[in-house]
Amino acid sequence: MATEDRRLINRIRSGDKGAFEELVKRHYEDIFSYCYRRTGNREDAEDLTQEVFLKLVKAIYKYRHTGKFRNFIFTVAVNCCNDFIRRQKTRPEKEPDDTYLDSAVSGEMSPSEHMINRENRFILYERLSGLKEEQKEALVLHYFHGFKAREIAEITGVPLATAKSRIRQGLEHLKKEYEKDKDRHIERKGEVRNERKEK
Amino acid sequence: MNEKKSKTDWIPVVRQEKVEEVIISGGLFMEQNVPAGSNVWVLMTKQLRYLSPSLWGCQLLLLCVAIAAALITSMDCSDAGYMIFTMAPVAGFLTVPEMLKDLQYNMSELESVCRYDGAKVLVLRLISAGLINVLCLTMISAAMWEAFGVSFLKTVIYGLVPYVWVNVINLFMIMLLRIRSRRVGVLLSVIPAAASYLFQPENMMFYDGAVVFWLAALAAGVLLGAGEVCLIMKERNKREGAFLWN
Repeated sequence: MATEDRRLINRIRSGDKGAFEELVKRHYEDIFSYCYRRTGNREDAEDLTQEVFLKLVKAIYKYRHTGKFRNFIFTVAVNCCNDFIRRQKTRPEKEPDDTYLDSAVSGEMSPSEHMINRENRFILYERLSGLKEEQKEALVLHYFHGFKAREIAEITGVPLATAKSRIRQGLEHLKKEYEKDKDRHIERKGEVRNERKEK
Repeated sequence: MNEKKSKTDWIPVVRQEKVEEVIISGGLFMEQNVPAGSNVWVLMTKQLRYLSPSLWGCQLLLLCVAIAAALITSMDCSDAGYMIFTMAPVAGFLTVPEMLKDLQYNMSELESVCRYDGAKVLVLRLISAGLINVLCLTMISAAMWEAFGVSFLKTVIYGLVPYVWVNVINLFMIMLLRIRSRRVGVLLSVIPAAASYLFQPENMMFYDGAVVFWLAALAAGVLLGAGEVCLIMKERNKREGAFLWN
């Protein structure tokens, strides 16, 4: 795969537009999904993905084969997303779009499964949104894109120990939030039971 | 991708028209930005223009002083050899401010992301300045050879050895110790030039057997210098990546 990317980059450098098309098709989904997980909005993710590929083609002559190309393109994506999020902080907060919740639902799902899936995804989105940006970035790269801590450190430009602690702290935070939810759920169940008894 | 990939995924299906949009805009950019050819000769001439005219003036002055000293004063063979030995570090010292010009004007970051390879540009700049100095030293040596009949090979080596070693030490101090001020760099480069005067090589000169020693010193200096240049190129390339993507 890495050799294939290298071959494509060499072809792009020699001005082959077909090679660029091939490279985009190979990595579009991966980059788009990352941007989507970071922003929670389809339009923003599409714009960011386009920005990543344009940045890549602008600087392709400067690229050196020093590691995996995937790590390299993700470094660009991480920087683009971070810039975007920084810009967004000064603007009013957006609600997650509907596609975020309704998409990726298998056609084989029953209506109840659909509802549970939708609810789970909504909860996970809320929990992830509650994390610090750097923890969210590390968790998304690790659990959704399969990067190792060493690679995350390389992509985000932090020491290995920092990358590991971001993953750990993010997980701990998620765990705590889910436990709180569980307690709330049990409490609610108890209240309902008491109400029924009283009736 | 590894097995750890989460099953709780919510990514919408990629819209093909968006993929096409990226391909079209990238293709347009590629059409409009045909890469500039980095012909070595073109780059070299650009670097020659980058070097300040004052450096050329100083080199010319050095050459004139050497020739005038040879013609006016009553020098003998050993004086001539020693004069070349003392002038070479000065020639090396003169190029230091030129090499640090990008630091003074804060241009190194910009150079690193320009359309030419930053590391290649730096090395070509070093080569251009070095070639001027070597040319100047060769002309002085030729004048001495003509005036005093000193062996041409010997006079060239007497000039090249201190020149190469002074540059090796300068490069080490300035580039590898990451000196980021032109003034500090120039001040530090006085040290190797001054130290070369403490070394009294008269006994080693004009003794036929010593030529091997001088050649070995030259070869060692060239090898060390080449190693340093490789390290600098590596460092530049690394920094270039950081400038580009952050």
